[in-house]
Amino acid sequence: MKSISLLTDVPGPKSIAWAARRQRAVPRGVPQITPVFVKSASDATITDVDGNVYLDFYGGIGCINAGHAQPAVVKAIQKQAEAFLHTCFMVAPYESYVALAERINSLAPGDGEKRTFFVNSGAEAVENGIKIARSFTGRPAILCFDDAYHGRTYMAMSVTAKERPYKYGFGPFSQDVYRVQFANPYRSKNAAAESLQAIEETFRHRIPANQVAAILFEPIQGEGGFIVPPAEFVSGLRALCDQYGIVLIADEVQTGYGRTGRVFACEHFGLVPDILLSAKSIAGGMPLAAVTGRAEIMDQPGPGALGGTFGGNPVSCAAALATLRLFEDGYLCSRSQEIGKIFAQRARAWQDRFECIGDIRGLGGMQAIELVLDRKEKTPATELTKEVTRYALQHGLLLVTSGTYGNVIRLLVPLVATDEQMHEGLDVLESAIETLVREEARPCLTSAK
Amino acid sequence: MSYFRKIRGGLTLLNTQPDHCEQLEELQYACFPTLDDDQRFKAKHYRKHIELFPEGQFAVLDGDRVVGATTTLRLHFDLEHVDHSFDEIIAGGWLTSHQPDGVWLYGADIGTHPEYRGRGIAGALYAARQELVWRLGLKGQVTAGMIPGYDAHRAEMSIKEYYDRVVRGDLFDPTVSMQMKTGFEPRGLLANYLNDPVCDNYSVLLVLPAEKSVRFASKESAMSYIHLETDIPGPKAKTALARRAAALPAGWARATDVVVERAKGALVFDVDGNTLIDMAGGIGMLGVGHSPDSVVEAIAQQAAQYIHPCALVTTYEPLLALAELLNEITPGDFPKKTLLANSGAESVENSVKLARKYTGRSTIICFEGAYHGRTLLTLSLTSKYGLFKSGFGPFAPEIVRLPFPNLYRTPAGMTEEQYIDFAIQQLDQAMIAQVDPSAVAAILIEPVQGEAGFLPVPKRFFERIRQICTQHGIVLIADEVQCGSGRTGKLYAVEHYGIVPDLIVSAKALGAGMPIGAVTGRAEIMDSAHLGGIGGTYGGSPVACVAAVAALNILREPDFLAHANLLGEAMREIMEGWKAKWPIVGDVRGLGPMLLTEFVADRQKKTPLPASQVVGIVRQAAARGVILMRAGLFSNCIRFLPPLNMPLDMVREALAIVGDAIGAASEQHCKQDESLLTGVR
Repeated sequence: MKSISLLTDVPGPKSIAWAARRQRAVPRGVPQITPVFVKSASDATITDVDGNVYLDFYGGIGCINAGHAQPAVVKAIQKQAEAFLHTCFMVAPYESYVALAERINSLAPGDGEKRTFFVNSGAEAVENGIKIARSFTGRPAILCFDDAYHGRTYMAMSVTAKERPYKYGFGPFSQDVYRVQFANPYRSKNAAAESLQAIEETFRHRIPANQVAAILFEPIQGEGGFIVPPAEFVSGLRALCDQYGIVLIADEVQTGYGRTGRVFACEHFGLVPDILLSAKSIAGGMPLAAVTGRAEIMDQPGPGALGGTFGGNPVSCAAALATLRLFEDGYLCSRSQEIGKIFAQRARAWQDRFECIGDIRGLGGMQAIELVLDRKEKTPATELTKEVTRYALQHGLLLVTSGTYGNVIRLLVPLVATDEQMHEGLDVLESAIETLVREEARPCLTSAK
Repeated sequence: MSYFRKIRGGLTLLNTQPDHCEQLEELQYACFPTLDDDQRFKAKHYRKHIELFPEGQFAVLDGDRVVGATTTLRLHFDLEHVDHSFDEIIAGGWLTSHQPDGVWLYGADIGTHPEYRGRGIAGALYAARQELVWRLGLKGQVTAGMIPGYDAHRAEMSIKEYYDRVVRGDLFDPTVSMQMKTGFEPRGLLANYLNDPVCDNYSVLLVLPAEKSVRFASKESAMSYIHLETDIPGPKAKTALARRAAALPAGWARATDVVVERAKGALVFDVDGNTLIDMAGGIGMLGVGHSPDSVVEAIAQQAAQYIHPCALVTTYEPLLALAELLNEITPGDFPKKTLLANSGAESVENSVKLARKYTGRSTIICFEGAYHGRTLLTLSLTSKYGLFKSGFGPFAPEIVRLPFPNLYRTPAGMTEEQYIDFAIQQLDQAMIAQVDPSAVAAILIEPVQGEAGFLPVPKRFFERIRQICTQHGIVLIADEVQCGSGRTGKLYAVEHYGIVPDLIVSAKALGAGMPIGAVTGRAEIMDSAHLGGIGGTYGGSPVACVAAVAALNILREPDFLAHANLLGEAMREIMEGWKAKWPIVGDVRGLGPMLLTEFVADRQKKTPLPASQVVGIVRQAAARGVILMRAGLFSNCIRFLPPLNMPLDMVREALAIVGDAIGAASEQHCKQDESLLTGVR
């Protein structure tokens, strides 16, 4: 039973008509990665206004791990809307916020006492994580990484790496941000050692460790291209932070809530961060983000110092509680593992056939392929990547890319996707690559002909 | 909805909500299994009842489960000449015979789920009905009671005899005797009123006059919106607050101990069954009140369709509908565009980004007393260091902060006009001494400063700012997060000034409570960001967008703002009365219904009243059922941000309580003063 069903070209006539309205009303700087005009969405498919049904491999950019419009989540939203939409937790609190905070405190890695509060987006979570680290340590500086993405508000932009399109023309940025290379094993044999060394050098030459409030990193870099650092890098960060009294902030906005096959990516590394940031898939797609951390750190700012009108709005909290309940039996996480295996297996077969598959990487269901022009130089195949995603779109598969050079195809499929749907989508992807490159047999790996 | 009570057994009795209609239909089956199906009310009927006479419909909930209900309507009822039948009143289930000025409360139906009988649910429902009678000034309750007990006695006596004996108390009829116990007075047999072969189509006319008291019904509760069962916080609230303290960081702000279970219109219902009047609106979030039906309906429908396909990847109708609406209704006759984000802070951040990109310049001018958010940039632009900023720096560079003319605190020896002249002079001077206009990307200002204490920008000062911006190609950004969306009695506060900003930021009340913020403005500025330069994963959340469109449509209804202004006038009159009476009231100010009281220790010197005493007023008001918030650089003001459609009698009830609290604080303060003066212990 095929999920993809295309009745018209993509975009269809109705979608085209709507596109003109978007152009008139919405600033042109807001990306519009596909011309799809959505009518409805459920599980792992999206239906557009022309009646075309697509397989959704991007899940609202990582927000739909639990699946589109899951009935329990929808019901929770409807019920909460009827009860009350907003009283502002700072003014008149409500139980769902507290219950959710307790739940995330218990899910987050680490046995110690934790505290959680809510804001509206990943960027706001990053901003608050940094505020708290500064308050706790009394220090100004933040250390972050190349290829990092943390958001588009000013401080989040300052710690984000890529100049274009995220930062260009919007400065000046924070003067207190220091950046070193991330540990990318695809691009360096000694990735962990080099990166940790670079941090030590920064401390020696650019900013003393005792002026650094936090090290902020993504356990798997998202926009940077699904870069999975070696375990020694992550444990090395933890050791450095312990040594110098620096707050270690793990940005799990994209890696959280089952994406990697565990609730949080930190679990793969045995890492207990001091502060953990999450958002995206936390609430079935409703705007919500969480800042979770060690109680003594989180309690440093004085009364009234932390806040925000909307943060932890009741409807999002209700959606989040319902979403987290879907994770309770462990099914979605194990599904994530299975999805990851399917992807990796298929991708390895492509790697045997196509020179352009430079790297296959990921954890659990958070998988990606990096496309290169040649395997030795690892020159990014940016154009090819664009064409592959365009082809996929034309054939009913919705994908988003990433990577500093835009040459990484990343998998953010809702974890409710069936094996059938996975293979159907990967068939399209395979056909895209096949069609767009010349096939080249890889010597040595196939049996001698 | 205004009725909300916790009754025996942890059940909740409240006005029926649209959400309950399906369950109510099921309840009819459970309560009246022997009735013909077309005699039972269906969900569609209940929806109509709520539409016609919302305050007359009551449901009893066990958690989410509807376990009891009653349906009433208002009628002119001639007790002496009952010349209609039950069917005629019920009108096929639709209750369209309801007369909005009817003087009797007609009980069409009352039922308790068989599993819940014997728990006093019917009694609680009758009490709720009697309180409604008192509240509306009706003559009483009237209903036609079935007499099922007759069937067992039909062999021995006529129905008339049975009736007489039941009335005398000799015989017990399961229905009529129970109703008599509640307080209903039998006023005779009605023939062919109800279709009930078990009692030969006879029923009893029952009347419960308004003069009678009814168990569990309280005249006091009936006559006020506020209903206090427990202290605030009550026992359930205390438990929740303890959990909150354990789970959340200590620094998370906290204004009241009210733990919310439901909210509707301008009323908040807490977990212990207390009803409070909300004069804070979740910090100005509630222009259209809590959970308006059209907003709730829009959210429910949207969530079922899709929650988040991401506006960066796809497009969808709610996003466009809201953007187009904002482009249309915001001031300015030029082409506009709208960018959606998740909060006021994010929207201000975006407006700054766009201004910088558009002008190629970096400096942002902001004002003392400003509040723009808590992300690092907006925090840098925000004033009030001690509370909001301490420990979180260093802050963003290229920010120039200028003094804001607070007319209440016009320096001694100056008139207000002279003060404004001076402020304009300072502004012009800053353009030389602090920064050159050619380096300024934007001037960012709240047309009515919110956190600073509801300080409207003086008109000439605002005009000078507009002039400077126009002259030097500086982007004028109006932060209308708190003062926009109808708060000042016009859609946007700048409309009071006839000034058109280049960019306008809205949030808070925009989404009727959903997390959404918007930057709307000149298309050329909005389009200055390169592709991919602006956006965000959640921005333009479909559920939030439909809520915002529904909320804006309410705001734009012809009478809505007219009522908001009436509300403002009524409030101002009462608050001026406080000023006349209590010396600690230093100033009453604002714009339209966006009003605030500033408290001082000394009217001449305008010394701020110590914050702790103002907290005392807020606490006292909360203890008596009014939710309030403070404001002001010295935290010595109380701001009023009620839902703009709050009924006038409700605002009077709330402000009477606030007035009492102010009076108490004023007396306390004067006593302190006196004892200081006279040196008396």
